[in-house]
Amino acid sequence: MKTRGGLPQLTEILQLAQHIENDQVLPLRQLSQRDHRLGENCHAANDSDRLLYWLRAMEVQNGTSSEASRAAQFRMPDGSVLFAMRVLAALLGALGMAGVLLASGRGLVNVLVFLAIFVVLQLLLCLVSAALLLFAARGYTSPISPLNPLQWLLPRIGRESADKNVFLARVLSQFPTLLRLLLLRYGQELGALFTLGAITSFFVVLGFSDFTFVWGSTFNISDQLLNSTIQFMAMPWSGWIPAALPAPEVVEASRYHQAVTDLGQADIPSMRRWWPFLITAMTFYALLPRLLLWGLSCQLYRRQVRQAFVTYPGAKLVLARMQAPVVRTQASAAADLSADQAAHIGLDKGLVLIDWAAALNGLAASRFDGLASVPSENIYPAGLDSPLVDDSCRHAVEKYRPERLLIAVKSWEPPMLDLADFLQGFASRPPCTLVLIPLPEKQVNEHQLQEWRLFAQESSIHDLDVSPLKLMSNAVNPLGNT
Amino acid sequence: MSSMDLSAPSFAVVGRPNKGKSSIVATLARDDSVHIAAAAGSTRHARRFPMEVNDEVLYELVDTPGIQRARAVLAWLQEHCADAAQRPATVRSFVESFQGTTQFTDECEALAAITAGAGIIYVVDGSCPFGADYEAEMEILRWTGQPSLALINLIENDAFVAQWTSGLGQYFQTVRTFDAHRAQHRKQLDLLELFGHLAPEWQQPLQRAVQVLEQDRYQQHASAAFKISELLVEGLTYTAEQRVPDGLPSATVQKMLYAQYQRHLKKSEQNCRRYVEELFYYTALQKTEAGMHFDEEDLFHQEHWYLWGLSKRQLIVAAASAGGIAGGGAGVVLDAATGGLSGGLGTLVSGIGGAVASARSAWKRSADIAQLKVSGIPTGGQRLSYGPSQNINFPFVLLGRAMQHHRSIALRTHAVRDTLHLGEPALDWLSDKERRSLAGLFSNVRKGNKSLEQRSVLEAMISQWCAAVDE
Repeated sequence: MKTRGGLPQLTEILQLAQHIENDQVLPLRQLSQRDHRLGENCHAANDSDRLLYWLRAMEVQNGTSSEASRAAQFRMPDGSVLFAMRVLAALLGALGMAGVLLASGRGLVNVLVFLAIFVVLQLLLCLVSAALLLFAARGYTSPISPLNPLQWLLPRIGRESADKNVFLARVLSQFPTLLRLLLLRYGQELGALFTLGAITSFFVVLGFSDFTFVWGSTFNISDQLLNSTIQFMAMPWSGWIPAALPAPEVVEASRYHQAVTDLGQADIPSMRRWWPFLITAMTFYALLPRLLLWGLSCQLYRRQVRQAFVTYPGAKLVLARMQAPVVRTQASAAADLSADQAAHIGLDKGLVLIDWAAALNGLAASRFDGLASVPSENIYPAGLDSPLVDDSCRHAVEKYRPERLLIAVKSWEPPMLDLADFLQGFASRPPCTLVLIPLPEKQVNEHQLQEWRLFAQESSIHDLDVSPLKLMSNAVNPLGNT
Repeated sequence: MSSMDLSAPSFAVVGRPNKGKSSIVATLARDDSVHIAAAAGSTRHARRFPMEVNDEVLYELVDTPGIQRARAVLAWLQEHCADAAQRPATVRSFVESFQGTTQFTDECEALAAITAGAGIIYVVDGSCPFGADYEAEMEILRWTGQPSLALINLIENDAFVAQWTSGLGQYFQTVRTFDAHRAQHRKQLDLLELFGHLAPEWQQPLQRAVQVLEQDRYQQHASAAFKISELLVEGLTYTAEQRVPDGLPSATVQKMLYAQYQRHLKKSEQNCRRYVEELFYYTALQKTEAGMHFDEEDLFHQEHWYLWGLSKRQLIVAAASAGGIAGGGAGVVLDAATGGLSGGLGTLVSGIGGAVASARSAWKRSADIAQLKVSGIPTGGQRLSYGPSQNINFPFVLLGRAMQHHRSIALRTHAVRDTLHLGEPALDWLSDKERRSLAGLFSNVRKGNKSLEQRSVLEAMISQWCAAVDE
């Protein structure tokens, strides 16, 4: 398996949490062996990539290896939802701008309203975002309020299962900073798209309609005050884009009052000279801060998500297990047999064993009570790779004509038609025993036994019985936990 | 599956019955499945304990049955041996002659491992006196010609250690005392290192084994710290809660919640203990301990909820916000209609008005809102909860119990078969500064402030304390 480097996704943190939780019921020895094996094959350079590799391996094991299945598992918004939100933000910006430009039947646009909506309000929102970003970066997040989207997101993010919801809410509530940064990141992106949409709309509307910029207010704003405000606003660019600073005469000429019903035609061209200033102000005070904040929030999010991933409780143990050797000092069943005793184990050449779907989990059959007498050359894998492998296994068995065919199966899995088909394919119908391998630390229970017995009764093989495997006293664990 | 490496050093633990051979093996192999019985001769067959690192055997211990017919064996050997050079071959010949027969079964089991190349770890009891009757078995061991070491096991006391040291010194180059029931981890590693000195080619694998075991021990403590910190976080944050539609009696639910709270924390503590025991390779440990007390005043909380989850305060804030937005929206329309000449006054006034009106309505009609049903599901009701614990001592008690358990497990050897008694935990080893740090951490975890960072700090502190057990 290749190591996928890069930034972990939020769903991957959730998955990591899920796997760590699931691992708690597994025996430690099994975990050590599994993770050590993965660690040996992993050549990632850092902890984050090592954990991603581990996660991929777990996914392959559990059959949830695609991005879609991950998203479905945790019901996270996928790419199409985000795309729709982006389009919506740009559309709102465009419609908002078109609305302001076309609101007046006389083609008049109040510069102050324009600035309030598309510059001042945006700048204020940017300042709020910057403050939130600063707090989030320093690790302070306000408690979840009813207005916070997380209040609604957390309980709904999981599947319908209440346990899943509780789990997700518990995991995600450990990352308030990360979630805040994520929302801020999307917020800045959507805000920038809103402004971009508005700017685009401005030029599009300009192409189809004629309008005039005026200014006026019920507040007693003097020409001088507005002039100095505009000059202050234009300070950053007035030196290199002089056209984007309206002259005092333009400001004076575009003053408007409701009582004025007829605009002097001579003033109209000068009134139109507002637009470079307005667009530059939007770019400078609305778009640029958004983009800067977006970049910053992306960077902070990346740092935070990587940190959250590798510092998630239990992740360090996974990494340690991947790097640590598997140590064993206890007696093992195989080692327990003295050479003399081993010599007394009779190998029964009449037996053939099929390891169905890797039920033995890579362990030698000799380590299982009841399978020790099968000669190692009489053991075949099946039920895992392509049907061709099954065919060749069946062919080998038919050729050998064993006195009894043993098939090791996972007792905890239900019997499946896959196996029934495989048995059906035997022309010789050999006498057969299904050997049920138990879960670690457990015996095959009555329910499982009944299921497999029923399967045997309905099988095409007449002489097919079921035998639950009993663990030896100093138990060999069938899943590698010896 | 382990691959038996023939070149790996092997050590046969031999001696008379009931001298603690199995105890020594159980301690060094960290295996509590070793059968240790008060009755003599409980070990009937040689049992192997390979030390495997990634399926590579670094060394192997062989627990053997006690030698019970030493004089007869020695007589046979002497009868069949012409000169001293033939002694090892004669021992091999003895094993070959009697293996598989009913005669000298135990002796053959013990000697077979040695003749196959194992070093000898000869075990005697330091609380019993030395006697010449031991010399026959020591002589047999000398005949094998294998590297050997004598261990004086202190089964009851060390009354005869000096006597044994002198007597064993005649037959063995190295004599050590070792208390299989009380030997600390460092002592166990020292003994393994000593095994490596029996033959030059055994030194390197034994040194490597010791290094690996040291790392493994460190990892055990780190993993235990992780689990203990998890238990503490659970203890500090767990709340059993249930939503009850209005009008239903809450007394039964209260009882149920209390039971659920208790059960959950007890189970968490049991899980933590089981995990720590598994970490230290204990599979069937019997233990007795004092129960944990959960009774705390004022842990019951009862609050109303509305619209599937909001508290009254949240409902009012949400209503005010919604009203503000709606009013503000209407104001924007108004301002736009005046061409902006109202200077945003419309937005401001109608926004505030909307917010106030909505908040007031929500306040006055919250009871009606709780009665609303959508598809038969009530939108409001009561939320009853028990926990989390507010007692500032509670996490300290939990920590004390967990650390006491960890310490008992870490210091216990696998030879001990007694029930583990866990008494009242004490945290007197904590300095005032550490107590203050912990109190701060607990408080932050309770409030959910930077919970991951706090937990990480807590885990690091516990890890240090766990590792200090071996110092």
